[in-house]
This record gives sequence, C-alpha cells and structure tokens, in this order.
Amino acid sequence: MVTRLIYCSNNEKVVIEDVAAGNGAIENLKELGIYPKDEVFITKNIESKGPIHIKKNEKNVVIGRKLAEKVLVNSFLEQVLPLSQIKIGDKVEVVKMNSDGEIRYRLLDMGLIKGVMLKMIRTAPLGDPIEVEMSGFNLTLRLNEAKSILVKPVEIEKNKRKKFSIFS
Amino acid sequence: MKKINGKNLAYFLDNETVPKPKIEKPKQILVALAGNPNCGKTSLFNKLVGANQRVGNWAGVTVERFEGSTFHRDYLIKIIDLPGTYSLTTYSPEEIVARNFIVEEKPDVVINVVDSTNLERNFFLTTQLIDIQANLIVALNMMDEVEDKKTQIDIGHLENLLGIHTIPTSAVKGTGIEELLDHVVDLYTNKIVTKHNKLVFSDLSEHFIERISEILKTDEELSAKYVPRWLAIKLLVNDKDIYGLIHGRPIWIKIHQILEEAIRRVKIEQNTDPEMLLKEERHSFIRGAIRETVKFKPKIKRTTTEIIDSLLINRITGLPIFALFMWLIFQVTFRLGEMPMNLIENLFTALSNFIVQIIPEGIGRSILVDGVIAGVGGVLVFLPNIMILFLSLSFLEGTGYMARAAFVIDKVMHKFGLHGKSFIPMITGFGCSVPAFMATRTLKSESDRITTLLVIPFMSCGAKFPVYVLVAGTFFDQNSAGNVLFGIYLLGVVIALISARLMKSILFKDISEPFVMELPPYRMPTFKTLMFQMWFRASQYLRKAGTIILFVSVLIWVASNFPKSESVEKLYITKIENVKQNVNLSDEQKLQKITKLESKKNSLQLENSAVGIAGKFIEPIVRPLGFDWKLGLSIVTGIAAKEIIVSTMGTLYSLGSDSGNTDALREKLLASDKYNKAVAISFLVFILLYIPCFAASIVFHREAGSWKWTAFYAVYTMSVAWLISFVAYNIAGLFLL
Ligand SMILES: Nc1nc2c(ncn2[C@@H]2O[C@H](COP(=O)(O)OP(=O)(O)OP(=O)(O)O)[C@@H](O)[C@H]2O)c(=O)[nH]1
Repeated sequence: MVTRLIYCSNNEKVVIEDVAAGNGAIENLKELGIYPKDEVFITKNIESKGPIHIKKNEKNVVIGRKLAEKVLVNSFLEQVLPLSQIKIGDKVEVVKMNSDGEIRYRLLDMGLIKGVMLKMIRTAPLGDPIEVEMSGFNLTLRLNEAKSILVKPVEIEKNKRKKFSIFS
Repeated sequence: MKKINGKNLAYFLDNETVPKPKIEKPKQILVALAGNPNCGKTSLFNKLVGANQRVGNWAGVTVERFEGSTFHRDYLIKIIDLPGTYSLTTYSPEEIVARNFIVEEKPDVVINVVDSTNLERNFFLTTQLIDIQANLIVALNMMDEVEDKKTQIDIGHLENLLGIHTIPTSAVKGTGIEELLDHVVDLYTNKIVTKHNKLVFSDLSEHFIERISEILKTDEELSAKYVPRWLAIKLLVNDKDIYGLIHGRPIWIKIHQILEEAIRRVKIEQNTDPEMLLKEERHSFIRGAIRETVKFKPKIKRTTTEIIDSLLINRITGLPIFALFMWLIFQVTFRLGEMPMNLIENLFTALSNFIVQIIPEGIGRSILVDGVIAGVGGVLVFLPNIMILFLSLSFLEGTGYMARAAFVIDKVMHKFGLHGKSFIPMITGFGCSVPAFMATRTLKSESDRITTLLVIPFMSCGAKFPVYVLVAGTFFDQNSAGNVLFGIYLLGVVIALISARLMKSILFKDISEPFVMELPPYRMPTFKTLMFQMWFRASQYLRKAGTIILFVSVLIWVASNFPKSESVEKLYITKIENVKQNVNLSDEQKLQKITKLESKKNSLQLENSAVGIAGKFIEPIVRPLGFDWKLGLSIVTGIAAKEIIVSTMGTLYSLGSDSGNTDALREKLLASDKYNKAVAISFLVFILLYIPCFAASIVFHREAGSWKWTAFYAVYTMSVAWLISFVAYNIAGLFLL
C-alpha cells in the first residue's frame, strides 16, 4: 500500500513511490541520492519528531521530517499510529480507542469506534486542535486527545499541488 | 454487514404488539423533544409552540428547561424541550436531565428530533430511546437539506425497521409540523402504536442481556418502573446510575456474577469488554439500517461549508478573521449599545427632574428619585448591552461559527486551563461583567464555566475607566499616564490567566474536560429564533437579576443616607440661613457660599451614614495599602457601582458630586500630603481587581448557581486585590518616591 514515509516503523523495508510536493522537494531528495523505485530500509523513525534515518544500499541517509512527510512509499506492512500524527488530507480507519474517562464516552457516543473511517481535514491555525471528518459530520479534538486513538492509514492525499494550497 | 458469531445480525425484531384498549384519556398530552445538539430541536420547538413558552431551570443543575404548549385537535399538548445530547448515558448534566425525564416522568409521547443529513450519528440516540421503550415518534428534521443534496430516504422501510412512525419535517421551512402533531394525538389516543421493537444484539450479548433481564424481572418493584431489558443493557455498559440503583438490592449478588462472567467471556471470545462490544454492535445495526434505507448521491463538488471553512479557519486567515469577529462583537455591543444606554439615562434624568418639580422636598421624594428611579435606571442601562451581545452570540451559535471560534483560539486558552469558548465571555468582560457573566452559558462543562466566571472580574470593565483616568491623570504626567493605564489593563489579563491556571489545577484538579466537539455545517439561523433568543436573555436578566438589583440599590441608597446626624443638619441649616440673611453679600456670593456649605454638609452626612461608618471601619484593613478612610469609603461605594467612585470622592472632598468637578478634585488630591504615586498605583490596582459591582455579582450568583461559588468569588477577588495592591504599593514606594 502507498503510504507516507513518516508513517512507517523502524526496521521496515519500503519502496520509494513518489513525492507529494513540488519539484523542489524532488530535487532535494535526489540530492540525497534517493530516487523513485529505490528500495530503502528504515533504521530510525521516532514518533512524531526528528529526522528519519534510512539505509539505501548500505548507505545511511538522513531525511528531515518536513521532507519525509511528503515522501510516499510502498509498504508491505500495516501501519498503526496515533491519530495525532496523521497529515492533512489522509484517510484512516480507527483500529483502537484507548481513551479513558469522559472523553471515551463522548467519542463512543458520537460513533468513533473500531472500523470507522476518518479523514484529517485541518489543524487549527495554531496547530491544535484538529478537525476530522467522520461519516456525515466533522469533529474537533485536541491533539492530546487524538493521541489515544490508534488508526491505520488507508488513503494518502497525493495531490502534488493542491488548488488552495495556501489555504490549508 | 458485520458478522458476529458467524451469523448476520438482525436489526430489529418485532415484539408482539398487543393492541391497546381505546380508553377515554384526559385531553392533555405531555410530550418531550429529544435529540442531538444542532439537530434543529430548538427551531422545531419554536415552530410547535410559538411564543407560548416558559423557561426555568432543571432542578439542581444550571441547564435550562424550556416548556411550551399548543392546542391541536382539542388536545392541550404540553411540550418539554430536553437538552440536546448525543446519548443517554449520565456523563453530563444535560444527559442526566434528559434521561431522568424520559425514564422517571414517562412523558406520553417522546419526539426524537433527528438531523436527517446525519442519520448515522443521530440514530445512536434513537436506538437508546427504543431501549427505554419510550412512546416514540421520529421527526426527520432538516429534510429540506436532504432534498437539496438529492439524498433519498426510504421512509416506509425505515419505519418498518424501527417500528416507529417517522415524519419528515423542516423547522426552517415549517413543513411537517401539522403532521407531527397529528401523530402525537393519534399515538396518544392509540389510533396508531409504537411497536416497541427491540434492537437485537449478537448471540453473545443477547445471552447475557436475557439472563440479567430474567433476574431483574423477579424484582417486581424495579420491573414495574423500568424496562428490565434496558436496565440489563445499561448494567453491561457500566452505567453508574443504574449500578447505584440496583447494587443495594438482593438480586445484585446474582447479577454481579453474571456481569463478571460476561466480562470474562467477552474478553475471551471478542477480545474486548461488554461495554465496547454493545456500543460497536449498536453502531453496526445503525450502519446496516442506513445502508438499507438511504441512498446518498455521491458528492462531487465541495460543500458550501467546506468552502466557507477553507476561507474562515485556515492557517493564515483563521486568526485575523477570528480577531475581526471578536472586535466586531465588542464594538457592536458596547459602541452601538451606548446610544440606547444614553437614551435610557437621559430618560431617567428627565423623569427625576420632573418628579423633583412636582413633589415637595423630603425623604419620600428622595427615596423615589435617588433610590427607586435611580435603581430602575441602573437595572435598565445594562439591557442594550445584553440584548446586542446575545443577538450576536445567537447569530454566531446559529450559523455554526461559535464552535469554529473555539477551535481557532483553543490552544491559547487551553494553556491556561480554559476552553476555546471562554474567550468571548472574557473579552466581553472588558466592556461589562454583567453580559460577560451571562455569556458563559455557552460553556457546557461546569468546571470551564465556573473558572471563566471567576476570572472575568479581572478583565477591567468600562465603568472603571473614569477612575483610572482621574487617578492616573492626576498623579502621572501625560506620557506615563498612558503607560500606567496600559499596565493596569495588562495586569488584569495576567491575573485572570494565572487565576484560571491555578483554579484548574487546584479546584478542578481531577477534571479533564475534553474538547471533543462537532463543527456543524454553516446554516442561516432564522430571524425569529434570533429575536427570540435576544428577548429571552433580556427578560431573564430583568426578572431574575433586575428585581434584586433594584432592591439592593434602594438598600444602598438608604445606607448612604442614614443615619443622618441631626446636629450637623441643624448646624448647616443655620449657617445657610445666616448667609442668606447677610446683607453684605451679593446674590452671587451668597450662592457660592451656600453651595459650599451644602457640599460640606453632604460630605459630613456621608461620613456619618452607614456607608461612611463602614468606610471608617475598614480603614485599618486598607491602611497597609496606603489608603486613608476617604479612599476606603470610595472603594466601599464602588461595590455598589464603579461609576460612583469618582462622585463619592467628589462628595468627600466637599466638591459636590458633579462629574464636571474633576479638575477641582485633582487639585484636592494633589494637595493632600497623604497621597503620592505609590498610593495612586495601589489604588488603581485595587479598583482593577476587587469585586465587581453588585449588579454583576448578582448575575454571577445566578450563573454560578450556588452560594458556595459566590462566596468564593467575593473572597477571592477581595484577597487578590488586597494582596496585589499591597505588593504594588510597597514596590512602587521604593521606586517612585
Ligand atoms: N435547513 C434547515 N436548517 C435548520 C432546520 N432546523 C434547524 N435549522 C438550523 O440549524 C441551526 C441549529 O438549529 P437549533 O434549532 O439551534 O438546533 P438545536 O438542536 O436546538 O441546537 P442546540 O441548541 O445546540 O441543542 C440553526 O441555524 C437553524 O436555523 C431545518 O429543518 N432545515
């Protein structure tokens, strides 16, 4: 499945697919010696922060987080990660809800259960909270609250240039 | 469809419907409206009962209870609008209120208002109402939008699946209202029936529901009152209230065993817990039912809401647009509100002048003019602000921008333990605390609302401004006076935010309020609803707060006029007489002397009055802040209203209470050796932070809903004011002398 490089876990082997960004980003990647169809091995990807370390033909390459977010890869494993780490435009399926207390009830009552599809719509101007689309309505929650919702990406936003890119 | 235990789930199974006998019943029907937030319940309620409604509070909680009635086919239909909820668990006061009403009061008919553009989420509540076996009718509201979207809903099939009569309505267009009322009457008179279908869960869940229900049925008292199956389901989903209801009873031992077994088996067979399992199954029924009855037209274009959102809350323009809206609300409320406020003030001045002319001088006139009329005027001046603010707020709420405003600013507010929705009440506090306190109604959670209420007093209100100008302008040169003013406002905000942080981490330590919130589609609220909301808030203020405010203002008038010292009165009357008799003086000179003597008299009488005594009494308390009894007394009268502070000082310095006299007052203040810059700073800080006027305090009490909080509010604002002033006085003393 095509997914984002940052969604993949340590020790995973993936194939570089595409870059969901303009030519600049592709050039940057080429400078690092990474080309489409390359098979790379992820050596270090710490949750939600820092650069990503990968290995291509025994050569170590470090890709900055911002760039890595845009790198699409083909992965053979299923990624499960917190909703808080999902990028705008991506669609995910809820795998597990670990929330506790009142928030757990609220989410369950609004229909956020295993198997439900979510789409990340936007983050607030200051980066928190986030807005997700569920079947039929939009929901906001704080990043901290989104941390305990585990999801698996099912569809990655591929548009290289979004129409209203400055607006999202 | 989801398979559990290898078998397809049936959605609903018909219970045997026993035809009910047709009996003569009283021609009065009690109807409850239940539904999700934003489903258009309030609009539908307004359409059903028109202006014929009353508002109260649900016992014990600060949730409003709307009640109205209408006549239909000879029946008096009394409708209770339950608070909007997503579910009938007992997590919020709204849910408890809604559930208790349906379960305990057993209304004749429950209308479940459903947002048809969003059936999946709305039906979650519907299925719970089915569990309770309420006498249900479903109103498929927002049908106009469904039609616009070209979604098709097979209503006949839906009715069969749910076993409930289902009526398409549009609260905005006014369609389906008659039909809805027809069905209410028909259901009540047993012309039609609700089938009391039940929702059938998986075999595993059913096994335990059945076993627990069987035991519950042996408790006759319980099963006469509640539906055993519903209790069983609630026990399996860990409902605290139902647990509390049953766990003291003899049957509990057996039920407890079954519950434990259920937890074990669900863990082994489904690797989850019964609560999650039942909720998931409920959702999968709903999804199945919708798949069978609703045909969505695939959406190709971006919806209007998506387009508006991409403009209003995107990363770049989101904050500026938010700031613009907030600025607009503030300006409209307080600038536009100024005109009617002046009008009201002028009207009341004219009225007092008129009365002064027709009634001879005396205590009676004084009570009427300075007590009652001034009091009524004092109540009414807040009205324009309240009405405009609530018009704006209902507009923001009704269109759906309110939730977005909270979304945009939440990160900042959350840093201080507040909610995104606390922002509007807080900035309103810069204008006036009265509407600001009332605006906290938009906050749903108790801890957020109380915290916001408690920090609003520190947002410097407009009435304090003249005091700042007087004091800062007197003791500081033109350049630094501006800085001092700015510093005062800033200090208020800082204290407010620190207080919020403290309260959230001390008073509400273990309460974490989730931000989980729906961003509803943008909709245009109807003019009628807006007007209604505005009028409703205004009338609530008048009835609930206005009367007490009036009463207290008369009290304060009395306290500042009595007891009167007879000897002072006599002394000055003779002095004035002497001036009048003095042939050596010209008329002009006489007038000057008399005015001076009058002022002196007033000042002495104020000193002798109850308020004056209070001012002197607190002198030792305010001494460490650098205040003499005169400043202390000004502070005391400021509790009545901040506008009075300057005029009290005028009276105390025997200048008469006209505000035109500020220049003279400045000279007096400067001339006194008791005052200096440090005292000025200390006084400014105290005025900024201490308890708002009593009108605001009364509104605070109404909104906070308990004496405990009102007492805390008084003590907190007073001690913070004292403490910070003390610090400010001593620090300023080091640098400014
Ligand atoms: N198009 C359309 N809009 C509606 C309909 N009913 C209500 N609305 C709009 O939906 C918005 C929300 O309506 P309310 O009546 O305030 O909803 P509510 O369910 O009472 O919401 P809460 O007060 O949050 O519980 C308003 O802007 C209404 O004008 C309807 O049938 N069709």
